[in-house]
Amino acid sequence: MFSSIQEVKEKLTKQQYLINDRLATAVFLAAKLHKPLLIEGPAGVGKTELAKAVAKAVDTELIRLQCYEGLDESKALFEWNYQKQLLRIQANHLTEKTWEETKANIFSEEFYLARPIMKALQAEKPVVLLVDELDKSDEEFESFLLEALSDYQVSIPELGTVKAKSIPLVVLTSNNYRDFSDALKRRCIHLYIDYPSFERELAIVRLKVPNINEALAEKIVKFVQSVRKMVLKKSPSISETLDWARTLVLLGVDTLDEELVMNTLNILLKYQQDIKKVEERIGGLLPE
Amino acid sequence: MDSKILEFATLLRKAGVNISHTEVADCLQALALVGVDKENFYNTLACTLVKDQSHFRVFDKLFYYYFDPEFTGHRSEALKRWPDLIWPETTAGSCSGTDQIPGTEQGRSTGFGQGQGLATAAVDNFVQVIKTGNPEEIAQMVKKGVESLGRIREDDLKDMKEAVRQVKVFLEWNMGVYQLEKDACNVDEVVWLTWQERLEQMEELLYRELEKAVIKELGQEALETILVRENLNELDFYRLSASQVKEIKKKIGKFAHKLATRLSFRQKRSKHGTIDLPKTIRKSMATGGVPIKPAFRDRYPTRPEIVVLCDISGSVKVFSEFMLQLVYSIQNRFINVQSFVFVDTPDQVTDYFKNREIEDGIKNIYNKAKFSKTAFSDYGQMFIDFCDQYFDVLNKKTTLLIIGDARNNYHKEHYDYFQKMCREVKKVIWLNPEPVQNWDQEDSIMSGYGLFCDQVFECRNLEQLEKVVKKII
Repeated sequence: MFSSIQEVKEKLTKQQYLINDRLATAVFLAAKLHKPLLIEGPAGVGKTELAKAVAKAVDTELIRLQCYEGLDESKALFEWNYQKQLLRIQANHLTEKTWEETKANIFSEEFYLARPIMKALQAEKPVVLLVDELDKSDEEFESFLLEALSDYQVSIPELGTVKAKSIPLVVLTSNNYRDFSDALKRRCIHLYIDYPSFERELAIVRLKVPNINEALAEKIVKFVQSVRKMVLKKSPSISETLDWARTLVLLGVDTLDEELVMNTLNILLKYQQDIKKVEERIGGLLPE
Repeated sequence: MDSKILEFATLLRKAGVNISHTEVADCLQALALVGVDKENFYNTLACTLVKDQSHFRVFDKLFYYYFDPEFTGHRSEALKRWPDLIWPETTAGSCSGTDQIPGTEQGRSTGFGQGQGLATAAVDNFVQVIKTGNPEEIAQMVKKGVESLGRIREDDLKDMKEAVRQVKVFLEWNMGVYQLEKDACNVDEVVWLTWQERLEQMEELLYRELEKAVIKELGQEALETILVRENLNELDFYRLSASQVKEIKKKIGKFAHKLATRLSFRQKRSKHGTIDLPKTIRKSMATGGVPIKPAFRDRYPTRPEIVVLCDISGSVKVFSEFMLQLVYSIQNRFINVQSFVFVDTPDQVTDYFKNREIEDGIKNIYNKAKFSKTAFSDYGQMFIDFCDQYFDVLNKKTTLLIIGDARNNYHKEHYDYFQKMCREVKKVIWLNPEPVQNWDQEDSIMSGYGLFCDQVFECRNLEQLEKVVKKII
């Protein structure tokens, strides 16, 4: 996929994803060593975006598996299509076919529904498999993933072991909602994305909101950076900064003042307590 | 190179970072791919060896110490470098100004009060440095502070906190912070936040400089001791530094979440026994009336009531706060949590936690609750008062959880009252944050009270806490 760290950087920048050395190294190693890339960090710093950008950069399909509590193999890997099988059996009753024939028939490829992991393993050319918010899934699902992630194969009782046709680049993301088992972490390349520095955030805002005026962008980022220093329930992340910047551009303003910030603060902060906290000190937080 | 990486991994393991052989192998493989220029080297090591955000601190630290050329030679070289720093240990002198040239003959300050008020120069200097925030100046100031300790002794390694305190006294740290807080009223919020950040950075730097000095002086073993101290899971609660307390609080939050979901998951899966007939039939519609999968009835778990009694006298305060945090994070596991804090008399603090962040709740306790008449622990008196005022919160369904070191300051024990309480409840569990070998020493009467408890646990680090809580719930 990539031949050097420099190439990772260039290709991703082309996809409008600003990447630093650390991220680039991790992506490069994951692709080269055929290891899953585990990305952790607060919500909204661009974990999922990274996976999307990588898929675009190497021009391949992105297969996404959104995790949630209660997700199991049948949703992630594959499932027999019960209804169709049943219809088949009933239809076969009316013909001369024996039970043996029917049995052989209903466990064929026609009757199964491939889910994201299976799809990724069966793809002809390497794809990017994004397992999003893995921390929301149950621990049992995590251990099930181990086989798929370390050997790129899965065992299905009726079909035997299915090996990957091509090795996908697996990206796991997590909001650190819970810890993963050592077994899973051991198999991954780990990457922690934190809130960006002032310069990086400014560059991101400029890149993603191209029609923003220079001075406003700087003020926005300065303000967000100081809000982040406060103790809040949920600090604003890049995606919120971008939303806010876009809103302000839509509103056609070119400088920040107290009233404007108060009115649009709910885009930046998602908890009432946080909004209140910031409102109280708004005067002191605004950049000159 | 290979052996260096291996040694590095071994040292990290000592600090409680789990690194397996495959990870070391991965790391070496990755290095072969990436090459060993400085920036990439760090990144590669970070993403192949460290898999947990909370381990980054120690990783950074070790990376900084281990791959710093200054540290490759150890004690013998250090002695060569420091020969003129061996002075007779004089008694403590005053230590009030910054005009003192670091490294001159001078003892160590030992008290809080030293130099206070007189040393306006030092304070001003400190405040100025924080205000301007020039990284070089900060570094210089910290260096000066560490050098003020003079020759590093074994004691400094044993009690790093004390050494840090001494440096802070030298730098007039607390006065400076006080001054900054005063000034903060007149400046913008942004500025104040930046100052706070700088203070934190400076403290971090202070620890680093000090550790660096200690390692230089005492060599490899010192490095290992320092690393072992970074192992949060096995660190005694009373030893934690401020940033470690923060880290542990995060871990407790996660642990609480784990406890909560683990149970719910098990109950969801282990639905067996009663078949829910209507649901089964409804489900079978999709498969043409054939009930392929039976549906079971949900089971509702019984939830215990719990009464927590926390000693918040100085000796066990930190641990009690952790416990309160834990109990309140998993509140929905219990029907009813009632909490009391005490030093020598109990006060109910349940309401302080309602609809509020745990941190705020704990702050409120110290501001409002009446838990102390004399400021000295008195378990006996506390049990009497409890029976007097709150006896009716106990019943046959409650589990009584007591957190304390059972150090009674030689007051009367009043076993009878405690026994009366224990008879009233379903279960009594006592968590003691002191090591077992200290129980029943001096004024501790653990086994006296322990006699009436169903279970008594030693619980002085995160690992033990985790074990105990799993047993209780």
